[in-house]
Amino acid sequence: MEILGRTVLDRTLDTLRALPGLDQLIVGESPLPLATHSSLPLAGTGTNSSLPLAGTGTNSSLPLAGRGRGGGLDSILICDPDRPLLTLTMLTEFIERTQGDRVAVLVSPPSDTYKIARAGVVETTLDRAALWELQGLSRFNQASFDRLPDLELALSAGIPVRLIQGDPMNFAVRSEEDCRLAELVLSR
Amino acid sequence: MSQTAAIVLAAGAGRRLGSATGKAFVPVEGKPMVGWSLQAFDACPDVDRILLVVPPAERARGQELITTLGLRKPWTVIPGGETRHDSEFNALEALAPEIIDASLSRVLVHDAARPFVDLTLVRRLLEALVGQPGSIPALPATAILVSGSTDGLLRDFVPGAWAVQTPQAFRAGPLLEAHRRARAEGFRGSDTASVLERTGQAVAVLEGSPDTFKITTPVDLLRAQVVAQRLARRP
Repeated sequence: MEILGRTVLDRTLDTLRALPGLDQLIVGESPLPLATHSSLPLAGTGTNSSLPLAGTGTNSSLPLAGRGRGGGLDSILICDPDRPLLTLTMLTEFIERTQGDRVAVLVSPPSDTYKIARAGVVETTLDRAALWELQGLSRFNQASFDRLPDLELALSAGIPVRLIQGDPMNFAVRSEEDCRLAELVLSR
Repeated sequence: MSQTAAIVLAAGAGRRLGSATGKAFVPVEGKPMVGWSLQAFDACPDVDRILLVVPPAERARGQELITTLGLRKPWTVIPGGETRHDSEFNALEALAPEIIDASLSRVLVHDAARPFVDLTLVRRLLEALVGQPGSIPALPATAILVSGSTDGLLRDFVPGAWAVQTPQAFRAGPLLEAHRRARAEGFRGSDTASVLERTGQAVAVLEGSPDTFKITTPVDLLRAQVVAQRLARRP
């Protein structure tokens, strides 16, 4: 899918490439992409890799196991490939606001009421004030993962995961109509 | 014969939209947002009358809009309350005499912030009332949903949730009774169905429509523009 002549993935990667301090950009087949980041400004010295990742397509496929806790990485950003309207400003603010956190994730408040249903009937209405929708960007510092940068693993290990409210402009682009919407946003 | 009323809730402020005026009056493709819903219910063969709920200060504006749109069905404009729940309550109380004498047996409660009403869906929602007192449209959550703590930390993942839409359909009597009970007990629901659910009554979930999304932010307003243009091209 393309937005004003560039693919959704290319637009997402463009933003990551422009991030000062990015050392390595790893592109997996699914989910995509992932970036490693140091706290030092290293613009222009980063390397990009495009890795067709075999296997399940989950984070466990990524070649990062064992690189936390002194394994060479300062922090890891995991970015969904379908967020082409993620801007450098959004990304930089996210990193600045999460400097002291072991794990952080970008979220937005839901517009809808959410319910749990069983057999076609409402079972319960969820408390909307406590709900958040993930916005496709998370950050793990080197001390937060022994093997895998994964939110559920971090949560089950008792590592605090900070929720950072993002910009509604950073919406997921998953259809041709989303692309037309993204073009409308970019044209303004 | 007992009738069906459509209650259109248009009293929201639209703070996240950054609107200086009531959200429902923000234009979508040249027409006030609420105008889309009003015209849809006016064209709906399953709806007999329309009740528009607006901010108290916008009542004349609501009446003027309906006149301009040239609605053919009987309509009323009433002032809303402090919250969505309060506006619902005001609407049901305005309809209470007809609900109690059984001349009005079904109500649809709809958010004006969802301009694209699917009339096929309305029919299915009303048909489902044969089996239970409430029926709502919903879609499986497309976003990954989590719950957070008050100190801004992730508490848990919330799998398998459904994103609820409107219009929501109800048997009018049970809903009025549930709303009066909620008022007496100090309960305020985030949507209409939750008022009925807390009384232990069943609410059916039917598959909703992707076009029936809610306009909350400026991006949603742009999405509405894209959808309106597509719908206009439909033969």
